[in-house]
Amino acid sequence: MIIEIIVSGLIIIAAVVIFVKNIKKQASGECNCGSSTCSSSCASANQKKKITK
Amino acid sequence: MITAALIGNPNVGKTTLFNSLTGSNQYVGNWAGVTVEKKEGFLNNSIKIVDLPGIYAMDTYSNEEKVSKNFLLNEKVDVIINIVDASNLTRNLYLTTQLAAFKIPIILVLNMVDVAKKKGLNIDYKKLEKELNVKIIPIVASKNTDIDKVIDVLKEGNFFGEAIDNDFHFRNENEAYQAIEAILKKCTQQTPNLGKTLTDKIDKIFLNKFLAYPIFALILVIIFLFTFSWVGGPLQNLLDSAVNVALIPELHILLASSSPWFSSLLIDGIVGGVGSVVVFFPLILSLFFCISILEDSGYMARAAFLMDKIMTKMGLSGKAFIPLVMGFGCSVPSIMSARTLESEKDRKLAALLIPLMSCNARLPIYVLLTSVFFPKHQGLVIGSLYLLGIALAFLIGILFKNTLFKKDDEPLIIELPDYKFPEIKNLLFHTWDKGKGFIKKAGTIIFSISIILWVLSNFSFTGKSNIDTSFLASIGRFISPIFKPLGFGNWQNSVALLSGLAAKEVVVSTMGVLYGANLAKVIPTFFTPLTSYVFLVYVLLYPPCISALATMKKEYGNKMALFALTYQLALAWVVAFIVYRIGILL
Repeated sequence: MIIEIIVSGLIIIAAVVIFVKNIKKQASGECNCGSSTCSSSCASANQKKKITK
Repeated sequence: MITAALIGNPNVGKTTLFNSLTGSNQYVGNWAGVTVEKKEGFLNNSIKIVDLPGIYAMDTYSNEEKVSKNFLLNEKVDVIINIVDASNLTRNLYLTTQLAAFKIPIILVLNMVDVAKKKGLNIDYKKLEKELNVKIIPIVASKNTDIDKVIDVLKEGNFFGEAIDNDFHFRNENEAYQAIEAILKKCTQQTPNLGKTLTDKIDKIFLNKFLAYPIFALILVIIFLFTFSWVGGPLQNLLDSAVNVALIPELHILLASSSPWFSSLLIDGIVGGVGSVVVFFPLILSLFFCISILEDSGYMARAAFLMDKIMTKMGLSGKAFIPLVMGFGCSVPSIMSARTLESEKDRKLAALLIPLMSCNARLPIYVLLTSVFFPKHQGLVIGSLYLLGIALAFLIGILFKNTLFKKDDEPLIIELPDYKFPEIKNLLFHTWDKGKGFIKKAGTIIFSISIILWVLSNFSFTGKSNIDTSFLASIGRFISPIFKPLGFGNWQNSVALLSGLAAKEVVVSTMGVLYGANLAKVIPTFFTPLTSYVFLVYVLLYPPCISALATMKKEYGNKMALFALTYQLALAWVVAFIVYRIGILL
């Protein structure tokens, strides 16, 4: 029972954190489609990543 | 650190070269306007490569031209990598003559020299190098041929001191083109009468006055059949069986000894929510695969050309077809890509119409309800929704054109790239990349909302409660009167629509949590065929997601975002109401 409560608590906390993070991202206008390159314009955040060869 | 600006006309292979130089995986498309913002990558940590949007000249004023011009003016650029289409030198070199004015060393990369050769064009590179006074490197970016030469030149830095310092100062366009023609006359030789290219032959059929539209319609039908009947549909059924027939019963057995609420959290909350969306993965992959073929083959630009007349009637230029088509994938990048349109009015109007193009996130909802209520006519019903979106975009476009966005029609100038056989590697990459996004969403926003909804549907102010007295039921009952006149106003559907604002797939996962995992069996209790269709119409037309609204706000300001939200909510309600009323009469 205790393990079930702990596991459930962790799942719920994770869900809330993911939800808040995602909504924050969306509210800043970041793409919601999940793809990194669905369009060059979409992944503006990714473009800032330093890509090295 | 050396900064190199990669610049050239649209669709000449800038992003392909950028990817080769930096080892990056930026999106590459066989149509103009793929890049609308600058991108940065690094070669050997010591050379920064900046991929700028494709432009034809520096003297016009679309947003991508501004991005490129401002970058060259305001940033410290050590060298310009001017990539040009070797098979179309006259037009491409016009930009080169304008770049000369920036007094920055230029490396002229002649891409697609293989295509030029096929077209019978022989270029004397040494002579051209001398005439233009720039370093010239012929390459074939798509085949990675001679990219190492570009890398060597950049590494060695031997472009310094080679800034064009000649007489490239022209009073007007004509003068510039005359000078370019004169140079090319000295440096190139055209083998006459090579006959028509394959692209010419295909275009003769695909752009034929009488055949073009039937072929376009046929292509769309094939995409639908491939997605729903031939490949996507059967695979979806398999996955659905795996989840509902194998996984869920197995989980019930595994969790038999645990508390009922715990197994409910795992089975109804997580598997019911996420699983009900994940089963649509094969459909999404199939659709993306087809779209990738259209993009890579070069047909997408032809489609824009064909749609120009219709677009003009909607108050848009044919160029707006591309952002609108992208809207079938995801509204967010489409709204952003509307910035490639020349006029502000065009951009705003396109951004307002894009959400009416049914984005792929809505597909799982369509498939779920149509498979239950219209199993024999599933493709037809889903097709009717797509068509309804297009028809409404057409009508709203005309309405806005004559009220909010009055302007003169502008002619369409669009480049028709050569047809090419889509590269399997590219196709798979694009398909997987888009599909990966769907899975990522399932693991993040869909997962989190499913859990939150499970909690809200199992608890109330008094603690653990029945679903009908839960927090969620209270929220749902508060908003459900809005949907009562539309025929589907129970609290569960109201909550599903509300949660769908986070992402459209969440509508399905919400139903999965609220109605139980085996949705197909339960749903007929809550809908009739008519109300299910009305529900789908509402889903088609109400705002796609928070991201799309936020993008609208970012691109066009608060007023536009608020206007978009209001008009989409109103349109969805009114159209759904009309469909419902007509349905009752029938």
